[in-house]
Amino acid sequence: MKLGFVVNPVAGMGGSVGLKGTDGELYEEALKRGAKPVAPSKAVRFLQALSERGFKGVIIAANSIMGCDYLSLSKLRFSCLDLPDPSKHITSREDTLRVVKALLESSVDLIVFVGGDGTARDVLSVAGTKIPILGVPSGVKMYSGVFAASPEAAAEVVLEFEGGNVAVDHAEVADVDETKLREDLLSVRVYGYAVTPVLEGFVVPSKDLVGGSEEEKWGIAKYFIEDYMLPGVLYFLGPGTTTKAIADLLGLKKTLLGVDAVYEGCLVGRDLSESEIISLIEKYKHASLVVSVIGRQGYIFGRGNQQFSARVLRLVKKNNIFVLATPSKLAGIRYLLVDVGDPELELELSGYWRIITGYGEETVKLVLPACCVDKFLRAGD
Amino acid sequence: MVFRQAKWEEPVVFELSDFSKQSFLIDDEFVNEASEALKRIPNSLIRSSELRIPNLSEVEVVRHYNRLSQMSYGVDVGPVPLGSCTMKYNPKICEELASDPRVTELHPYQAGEEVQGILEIMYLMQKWLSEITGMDECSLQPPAGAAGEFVGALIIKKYHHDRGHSNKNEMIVPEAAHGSNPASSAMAGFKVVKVPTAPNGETDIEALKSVLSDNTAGLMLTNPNTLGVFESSIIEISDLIHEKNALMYYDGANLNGILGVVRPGDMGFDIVHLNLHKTFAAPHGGGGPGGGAICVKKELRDYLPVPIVGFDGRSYKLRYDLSRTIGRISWFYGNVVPIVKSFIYIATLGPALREVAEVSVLNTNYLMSKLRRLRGVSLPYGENRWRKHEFVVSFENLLKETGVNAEDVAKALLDRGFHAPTIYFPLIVKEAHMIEVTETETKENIDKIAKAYEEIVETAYKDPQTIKLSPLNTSVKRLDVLIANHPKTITPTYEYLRRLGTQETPSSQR
Repeated sequence: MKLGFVVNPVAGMGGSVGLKGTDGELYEEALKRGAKPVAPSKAVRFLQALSERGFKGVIIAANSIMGCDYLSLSKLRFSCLDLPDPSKHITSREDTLRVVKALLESSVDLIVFVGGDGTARDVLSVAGTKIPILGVPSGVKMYSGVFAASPEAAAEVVLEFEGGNVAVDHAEVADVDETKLREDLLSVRVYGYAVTPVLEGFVVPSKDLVGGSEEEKWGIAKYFIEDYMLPGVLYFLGPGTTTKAIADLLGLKKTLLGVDAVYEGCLVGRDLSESEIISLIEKYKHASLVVSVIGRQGYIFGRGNQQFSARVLRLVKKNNIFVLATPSKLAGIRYLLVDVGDPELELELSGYWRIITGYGEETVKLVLPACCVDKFLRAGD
Repeated sequence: MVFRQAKWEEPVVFELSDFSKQSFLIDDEFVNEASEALKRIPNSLIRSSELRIPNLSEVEVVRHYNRLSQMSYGVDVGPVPLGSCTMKYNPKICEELASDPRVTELHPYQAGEEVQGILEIMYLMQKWLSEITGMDECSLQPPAGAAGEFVGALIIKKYHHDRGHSNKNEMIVPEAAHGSNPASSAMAGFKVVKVPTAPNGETDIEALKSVLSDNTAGLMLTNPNTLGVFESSIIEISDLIHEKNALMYYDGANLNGILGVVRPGDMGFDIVHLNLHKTFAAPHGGGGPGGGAICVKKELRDYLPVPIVGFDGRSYKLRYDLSRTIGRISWFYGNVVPIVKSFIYIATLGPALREVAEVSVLNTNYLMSKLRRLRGVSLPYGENRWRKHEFVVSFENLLKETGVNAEDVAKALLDRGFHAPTIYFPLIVKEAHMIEVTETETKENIDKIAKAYEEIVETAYKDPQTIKLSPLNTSVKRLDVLIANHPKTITPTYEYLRRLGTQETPSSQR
C-alpha cells in the first residue's frame, strides 16, 4: 500500500494562544504571542503508532518539515517527493497544494494529513473525491468529518485500511467563517465533501454537522421513493448526501453539491443552474423540490442551494417542496430558515413544516423567514 | 460518606464447577431406586452424554451469588434516580406473599374452580386500575410497558379499520416522548409524526394543529411528559384530536406524578397503559416479567386483548368473548407475579395512594431547587415552572466551561455511592440528566444526592481531570469505549469473549 503523508507545520499554533485559527495573518499573530508548533509532535506520534502496529506499506511524503523529517526517525519505508524545500520559508497554502498534487501523481492509495479544517480544505481542493483522505487532528478548528480521534486512532484506521477492513464514505469538509469568528459568532460552512475511511470510534463525525448514518439516510430515501414520488412529476434533488441517497437507491449518479433533476426514474439534468431549472419546470409542468437541511444553522433555502431562487420557489408551490433531514441533523436546531432575498416569499414559506426524518417517520419543525426571525420567536425559542 | 464497592474476579458458575467432582454423596439405596426407575424409562429418553449443569456444593453456590450481589447496585442498596423509571422500593411484604406456593405453584392449565383466588385478585386489579385511571375496563395481559403501547396502537388501528377509515395511518407523538412510543406505532403499521416541545416544556399546540388531518389516527402522550412538566392544555389537545375522529392514547410511565390527584380518563384519554413495575412497586427487569396493564373507555371495551377476567355473580372466569379483540398479547398470564405484588401494594396503601404523588412531587421539586442553583447547571424548558415527579437538568454550560460532560458527572455520582440518573435523554436537552427520586427517598437521602452533585460540580471547576477519570471506587472502572466498539475486540457475550481467547477484557481492569 502507498500512503501519502503531508504535515502542515503551522496548523494548530493559534489554539494555545487563544486564536481561532492559524490561517494567513493569524500565523504572524500566533508567533507574536509566543505559540509553538504543535503539528510536528502529532506527526511523530502518528508515525510511531503506525510503526508499532506493523504497517507494511511505503510512505510517500513531502520533503523536510512537511513530512520526511519525521520519517527518518521511524523504521518505516518511505520515499521523499522532489519539491522545493519548504523549510526555507514560512509554509503556506501553496505548499500544501503542491504536495497533494505530487502525491496524486504518485498514485497513493490514501492521503493522511496532519492539520485542521484549513488544511483539510486545502487537501480537498486538490484531491477532491478521487482519493480518500484522513486527518490527524492538529488544528484549532476541526469541524470537518475527516479527522481521526487522535494520532494513534489515525494509525489504527490506516492499518485497517491496509487490511481492506474499512469502507469509505463521504464526509463533510467544513470551515468556519473567519471574519464572523473574530466577532465571536459561529458560522460554519460546508465547503465540500471528501471521501474518508469509516471506523466508528476512530474517525470522528463532523462536529456540529453530524449528518446521520448511511442507514438513516437510506431509510429516508426509501420512504420518499415509496410513499411520495409520483409518476408524471419532475423532482429536483438538492445538494447533500441525504438527497443523494435517493439517487443512489434509484441507481442514478447524482452530483453531490449540485441540483439534479429526476423524472420517472431517469436523470434528466445534472448540476443545474437557476435558469436551467426554470426551463425544465416549464417543460415538465409538474415539479417538486427535494432539499435537506444545511448543518448547524438549519437553512433549507439560501445556503448551498441558491439555484432554488425566489423565482423557482414561486413556480413550485409550498406543498411541492419536501424537506429531508436525519434526526441527528435536526437535534439542537430549534427552527429552520429560508433566506431567498424576498421577504414576502419568505413569510409565505414560513410556518410549521413536516420534515421527513426516517422511514415512516416525520417531524414537525418551525420554518422562519431569515429577514425577520425575531418577529416570530417566542421567549426561549 | 466513603464508598468502595467490592471487587471479585468472579467467573461464571459453569466455570466454577469442576465436572470431574461429585458434589453430593450417592448411597446404595439411591442407586437401587434410581436403577429401578430408569428401567421403566424408554431408552431413547435416557441421556448418554454428561450433564453439564453447575456442580457446586451448597456453600459455594451461596458464596458465589453473594459475591456477585456485592458488585451490584439496586434500590435495596441506595437511591436509583433514573428518570421515568420510577425506581421505588419493592416492599418485602409484596415479595414474600408473591413467593407463597399458592402463587408460585399455579399452573395456567389448572381448572377454573382451583384458581378462583388468583382470578379474584386479577378481577379486583382490573377494577382498581380502571378507577385509578378514570377508565372503564382493563386487561392485565401485556407483559411490559412497550407491549401495552403496542396493544394500544393495535386497538387504534383496528378501531379505524372497522369504521372503514384505513386512510387514518398517522400517529402523532411528541418529540420528547420515550422511544418506545414511535417504535410501537411503527410496529403497528403507522406513520409517525413527531411534534416539537414549546419553550414552556409543553407540546407545541400550534405545531400539533398544523399536522392534524383526516389521516390522523391518534396521539400518544405522556402526561406529565419526560421533562416532568404537566401538559396544561390537555383538554384542548383532547378536543382537537377527537374533532378529527382520532383517539387519545396515554402512556402511563409517569403516573407517579399525578396518582390519586388527577386521572387520564378525565383528561380525555381513550386508552391508557400502566406500568405495574413502575408506579405500583413491582420490581423492574430482573425481578421477573413486568405488567403493562391496558385500560380503555367503554366504547373500546371489545377491543381489549384476551383473556380478561370476568365475574358472573358466582365465580371468576377467563373471558375470551370480546367481539373485536386485537387478540392475545401473551401466551398465558406469566405476569401474575407482578400483578399480585401490585395488588398488595395498592391494598396496603388504599387512599394513601395520593400521598405517593404528593411526596414524589415534593421530593422532586426539592432536589430540583438545589441542583439548578449549581454553577454550570441549567433547567431548560419552562425554567420557572414546577415539575411533577421528575425533572431534567442540562450540564451544557459545565461542559463549555470545564470540559466535564453529563456522562462524566454520572460516573462521578457512582464514585460517591449513588446510581446515576438517566443521561442524554430526552434528546431535546443537551448534556441531560433526567432525575426522578420517587417518594421512597427521605429528605436526608435527597440532601446527600444534592451534596454529591455540588461536590462534583465544584471539583469540575477546580480539577476537571479527577471527574473525567471516575469512577474509581466501583467494581468496574470506566470502559474504554474504543476497545469496546472495535470490530476486533467487541464482545457481545461472555462466552464469545472466552472463545476469542483474548487476554484483555473489554472492561478496563486498570
